[in-house]
Amino acid sequence: MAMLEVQGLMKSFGGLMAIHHLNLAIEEGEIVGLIGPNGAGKTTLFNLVSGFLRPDSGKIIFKGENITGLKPHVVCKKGIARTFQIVKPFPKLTTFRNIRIGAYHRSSSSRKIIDKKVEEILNFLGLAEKKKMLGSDLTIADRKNLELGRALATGPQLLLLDEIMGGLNPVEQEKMVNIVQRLNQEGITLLVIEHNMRVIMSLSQRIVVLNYGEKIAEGSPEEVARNQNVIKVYLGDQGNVRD
Amino acid sequence: MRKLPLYRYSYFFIGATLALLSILPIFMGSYYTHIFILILLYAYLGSSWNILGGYGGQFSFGHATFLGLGAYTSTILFMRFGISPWIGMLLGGVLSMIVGIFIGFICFRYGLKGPFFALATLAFAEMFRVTALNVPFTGKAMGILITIKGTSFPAFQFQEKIYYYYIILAFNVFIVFVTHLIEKSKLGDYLEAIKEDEDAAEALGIDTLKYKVMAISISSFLTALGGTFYAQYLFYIDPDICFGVHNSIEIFIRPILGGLGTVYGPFLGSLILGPLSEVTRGLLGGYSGMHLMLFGAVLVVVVIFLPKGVVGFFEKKIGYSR
Repeated sequence: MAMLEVQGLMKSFGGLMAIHHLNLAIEEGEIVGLIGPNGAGKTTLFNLVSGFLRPDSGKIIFKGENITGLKPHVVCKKGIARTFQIVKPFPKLTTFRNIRIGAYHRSSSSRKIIDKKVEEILNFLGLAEKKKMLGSDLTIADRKNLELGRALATGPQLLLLDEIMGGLNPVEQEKMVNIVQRLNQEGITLLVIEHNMRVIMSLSQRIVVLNYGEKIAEGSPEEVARNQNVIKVYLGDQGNVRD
Repeated sequence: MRKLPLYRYSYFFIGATLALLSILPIFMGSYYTHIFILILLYAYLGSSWNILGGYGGQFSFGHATFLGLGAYTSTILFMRFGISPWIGMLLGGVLSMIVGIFIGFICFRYGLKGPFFALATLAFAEMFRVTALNVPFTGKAMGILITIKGTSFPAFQFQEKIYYYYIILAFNVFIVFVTHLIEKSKLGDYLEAIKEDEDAAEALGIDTLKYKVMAISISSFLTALGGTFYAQYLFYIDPDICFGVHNSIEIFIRPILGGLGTVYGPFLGSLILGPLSEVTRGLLGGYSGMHLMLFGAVLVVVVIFLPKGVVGFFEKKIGYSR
């Protein structure tokens, strides 16, 4: 049984079909890349899965349980965490408190245990020295880190990362790739939206390509890179004209 | 996180302030005691508002609703049924809390935020004012005069102002304690998260509706207790002095001046504004409402120059971060 199953998902905004009859399955332990041109429906899919949007029709099943239409905080408690493409740190709270806010509902235990868990996450992400800094004072790389840290604090089994590498320089990207891979080794399943092809090709075990809300290709990075539909979507029709 | 040098002295400051406030009325005449009672009353009401408005970021423009419910409940129970205002105070608190939960649920369930929530709460306060104006049970526009029975603790009546002073001081100690507890708890963290970014809070597993309703229920309960004190101190209530817009403004301006979402902000704000409005009243006594104009001016200055209030200003000076 797949960890996450999306069946016949539909979502339109006014006349625009953002997600059109999408079927998708993600197995436990995978890193799945989600790519596609701007406006392909990648973030809409995240919003649907995490409960920020209600689908017009279709089902979202997480570990055998229908989670379609549940509120975001309920989805989070089921074990799905997400990051936002436009990061949303709590600007007036310290890094430490930012992460602690995510950590409460997992461990209904004492403040000490929660604080210890927050320290662990801070160390893991290399944010320990910045734990007293305000969210608004962090660099973009640290904000992305913090965004990930907060999501991690909720103790997810499935993590949805929305362009977590965007705006990072190559060195920072490398670090982030490393972090994501380590999370996967620790047993977290990941669905990753990314525009940087080098990053997504090396990170993903499987890639799903969306275009105008429809899945146009799916497979290993090599397969997807060779897929004619994908090339057409990204580079245009030129290749075929010569034939 | 909280190892600042000044923080270690904060208990000393708090203790010293409390000691000073405890002995103050011994040296004050009735007039100054009266001024300090009002300072403490509005510090208390502001602190109640602060839990929802300051910590939770849900700006209520209608806290007069809860003040009025507290005042009317205890007064009606006392005058019509002879029930002690102390018991009436708790019942008023419970009624106010039920109304608060109702208002909160309706507003938050349908996603009213910022100015829209403010307007909705204002509308509720006006609804209660108009109702009180027209229902015989509440004495209509005539209001209700509380029969004076001399100094009697069960009747919550005292001839000497000093008793009221100590009661409202105790209220303040109580609410400072409650606010401290909230600030240090999960609820405090969640409210700040909701204030800063509701979507992010939801994504982190926070039931934003539940915690906002929780904040308004605590806030409305506490505000109503102050309402009973208000009625027992004035010996008279009517729709306007209870549910009037001016009361809503008086309640929230102090925490804004002192520092939103801080434990001592409402008290500091009240300490500054109380004498200020008293002086304006003295100087321009003939023009009623002058002190409200002054409040407006103060609000403009604070929003431009001290967005985090007086407490925020000092925190910045000593490099404190929460």
